[in-house]
Amino acid sequence: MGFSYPPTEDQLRIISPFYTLLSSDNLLWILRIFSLLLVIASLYLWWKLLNRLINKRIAFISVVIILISPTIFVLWMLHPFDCLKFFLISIFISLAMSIKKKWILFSIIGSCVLILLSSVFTSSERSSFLHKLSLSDAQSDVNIRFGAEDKLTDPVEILLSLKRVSYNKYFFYYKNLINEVIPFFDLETIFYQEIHPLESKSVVLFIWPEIFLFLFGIYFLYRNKYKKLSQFITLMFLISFWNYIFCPNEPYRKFVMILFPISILIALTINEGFKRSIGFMQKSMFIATFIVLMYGIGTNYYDLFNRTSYWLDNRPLFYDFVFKTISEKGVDNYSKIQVSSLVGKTEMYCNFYLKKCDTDKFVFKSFDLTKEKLEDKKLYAGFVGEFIGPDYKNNMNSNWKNMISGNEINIIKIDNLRDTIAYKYGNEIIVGEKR
Amino acid sequence: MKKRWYGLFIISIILIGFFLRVYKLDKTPPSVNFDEAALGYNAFSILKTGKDEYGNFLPLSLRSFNDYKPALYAYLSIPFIAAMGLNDVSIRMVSAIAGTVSLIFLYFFLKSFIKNKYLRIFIFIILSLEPWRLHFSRVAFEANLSASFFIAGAWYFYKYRNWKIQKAKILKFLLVSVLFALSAYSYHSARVAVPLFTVFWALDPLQIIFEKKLFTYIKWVFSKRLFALYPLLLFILLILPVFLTTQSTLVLTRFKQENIFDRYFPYAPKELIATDNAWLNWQSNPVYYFMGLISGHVLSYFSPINTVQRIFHWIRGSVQYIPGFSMFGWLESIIFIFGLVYLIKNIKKLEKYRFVLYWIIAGAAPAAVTWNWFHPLRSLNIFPALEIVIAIGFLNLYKFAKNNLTKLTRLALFGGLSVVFALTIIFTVCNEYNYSISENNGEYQPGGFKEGMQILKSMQDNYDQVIIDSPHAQSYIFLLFYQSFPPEIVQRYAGIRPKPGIEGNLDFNFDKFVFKKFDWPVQKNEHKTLIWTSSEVKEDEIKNTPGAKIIWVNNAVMEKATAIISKD
Repeated sequence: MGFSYPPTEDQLRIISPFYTLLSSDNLLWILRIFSLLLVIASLYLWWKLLNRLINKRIAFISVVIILISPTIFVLWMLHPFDCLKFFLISIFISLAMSIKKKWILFSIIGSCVLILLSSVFTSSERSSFLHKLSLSDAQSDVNIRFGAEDKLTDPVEILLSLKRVSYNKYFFYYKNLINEVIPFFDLETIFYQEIHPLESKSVVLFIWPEIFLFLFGIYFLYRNKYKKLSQFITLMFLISFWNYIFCPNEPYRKFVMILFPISILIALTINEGFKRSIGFMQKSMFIATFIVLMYGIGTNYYDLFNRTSYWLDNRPLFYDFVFKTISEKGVDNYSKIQVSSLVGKTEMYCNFYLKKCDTDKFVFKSFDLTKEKLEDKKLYAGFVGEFIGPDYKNNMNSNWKNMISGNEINIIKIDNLRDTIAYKYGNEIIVGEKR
Repeated sequence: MKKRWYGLFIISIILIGFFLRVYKLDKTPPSVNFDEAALGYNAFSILKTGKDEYGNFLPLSLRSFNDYKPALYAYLSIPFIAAMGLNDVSIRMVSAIAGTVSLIFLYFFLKSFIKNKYLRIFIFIILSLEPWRLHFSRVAFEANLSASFFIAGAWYFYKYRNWKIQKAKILKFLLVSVLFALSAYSYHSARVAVPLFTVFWALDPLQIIFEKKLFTYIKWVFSKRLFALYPLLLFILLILPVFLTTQSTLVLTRFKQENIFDRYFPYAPKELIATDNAWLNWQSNPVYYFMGLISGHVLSYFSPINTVQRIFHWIRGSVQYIPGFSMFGWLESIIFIFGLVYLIKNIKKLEKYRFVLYWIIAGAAPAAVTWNWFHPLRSLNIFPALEIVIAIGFLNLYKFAKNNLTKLTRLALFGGLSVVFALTIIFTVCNEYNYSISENNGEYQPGGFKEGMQILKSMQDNYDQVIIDSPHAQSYIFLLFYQSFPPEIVQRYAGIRPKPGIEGNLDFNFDKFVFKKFDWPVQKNEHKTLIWTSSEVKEDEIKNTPGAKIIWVNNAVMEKATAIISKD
């Protein structure tokens, strides 16, 4: 399924002005190839940069480590803006590095500005860090805390003035901000996404055997006294951190810049493994790790291609199912077609799948057929909760098929989504019409 | 600072630590939890009769909820119960003292790692009042007692780490072994962690990476490190009675319930397994995922988000949950990173850094083979070691500041840090004393029993039977604990209680107490009956029944937790 995954909203925003020139499918693939070229160009710049900083071999290994990451595959397949950001930052750092003096300052300022701009202009959402910048959240947290303590039957008496020292909006502001920063130090999301304990929705950045190469990489970095490289890695971590706190998207997109510095550390370890001077024991361990690493990469791509809906956003799947079904049934056979707008910009997908959406015929709005009157020659596409009524706990009646049929609706096609993307409305998606 | 004043300052930090651990122990946490009640009641039972609640004479493992708890905590609690009676304070005193004693050994370690005494004292103040230290010392956790013995054992093991066999004195070996054995008698985890720790130190596996020739490495191990196995041999001899006196399969009951092997099989995503035999599935082989799980479980303790912020569902709502934190203060997570990098940087040069690393890995191993990704209680032994890494981080930061910043900037940096840490400590104390009551007042610290049991006790003599209806599987223990129920009577019922190996609801009927569901339409016809229920009660129905009265018992957050209904 990997290559046939439906487009994201970002991709549609870019290709929609060109529907008159080429078919939407071709446009999508042109965009994907362009995104891939941006990634390749970024990696080429990265290779050149590392080549100058250390040596060819480490540069090459670092590039390979980044390239084989499943995140990179998903990036060029689905997230063109991220690829552009990747490219622009690579260009900027390359340029800044060519300046002999104050290259660190230039790199930091430039990259941070780029990241800020991209987070503002490429998405209407804002990161949770930005939301926490307001003092009002801190104030309401303080009030909640005082409220909870006031409810105690027999509290421990603590001087109010002492309590106020830490129960105040400024301390809570600090607490809230640092709690936005700490998730950057999340080894699970960076290295253990394959078996993440919270099964959080993200893509594998690094596979788990790479954590050992990373940790040894830190050792080799200092042992070999790569001073400038060490500064450069610190700089890249800072840029990654900046990207993390300002990026409003899924964890793998927030963490994407961390691919750069960690890949260098991993490359440093692998580079040691290639040295002739190492002993038999070290060589054996290196070979074993390398085999596990190769196996892990294969396994992860196998997983990504076989369980794409587990790893990626399920919203495009909803539209893919709905509009392909509508297309099969024939738009002309209906006087009205209502498609749920619960999960995003429906009209954009309509234009992508059906070339041109007749706005008189299509209604992009959520519906509740338990309250609305069914119309003849009208097609309804949405979640099960829109057909039988929502449930605030998202527990749909197991008898929902009969309930829908009982309401004089003929179910044309049903699909089930892995994730709940429209809470209260269930995971089944349905296309139906009045019987 | 003069040596004497410095010493007094350290002692006062420890005393303040002790005060904060014991202050208002009866009020917060708001009531004892299941395990505290079980430990307390068994200690009370041993004090009164020499036998546990099942009638076993001076047991080394307490059968309790068929989980065979290590018994040392209960034995150490006996003097406090004898002096203060069976209550929340007497059962928690051992943990509070253990937590305080642990500070002494933490200081010893800091003294060895941080030479600058002002920096050391700064770090010691911060670490002595970490959220986990305060929380785990205020609850009767066997793990906390175990962790204190473990850090003491680790300190002497560290101190004598470079013994030569011929020079070694048996008393020193014995001291290390006894402290580690006491740790193992206090909590299960140490039974795995100690052997691993000593073996890691003896073999020093990282040396394999640093040493090019295998023969040189083996020679080095035999000449320099094999002595470390002597305390291990003594340790094994000392803990052997645990396995000899109780069936070893029963001692492993808890492990059988919680192990990783059964719960996650086939480890790989089920949808990707295409063959009948999961092990033959080459595309997503279980071995790859299993190795990932084990390494992930161990390395999760190095992940700052886990130690500082992330609350897993098995922690939330359990007694180990510290609202607002995971284990450490927030800023410590960043300092920890500095420490970890510095530790890795010097891992070859400084063997004491390897000592800390082996401590963490060995201490995390028992938790790593259980199904939970990160489980502080099962790995409590390692938190002092993680604190040492934080201390190394401070040291690294200090060195960086000293070499790169002006004196004024340095003062501003450490002044600012001092303010932030001081505020965090105040927040931690307020949080632990009051806010945690509202957050933790759930299933594991059930409100109502503490408040209502004395009311029930004052009434029950006038009734023929007492019906107890509680959503909690082992609610009988709260009745025994809060009524200081005569253990001789309980022991008489040992034969009818759920057999070893049985999990789930372990309530049993004894004396005039019957554990069953509240069913007013039926029970309103009973006479001379008291009913204790937390189910939904229709007050009007009861008031309208002749001879029936109702008393409400509030829990710690002013909610109606339980109703005591009397029916004449």
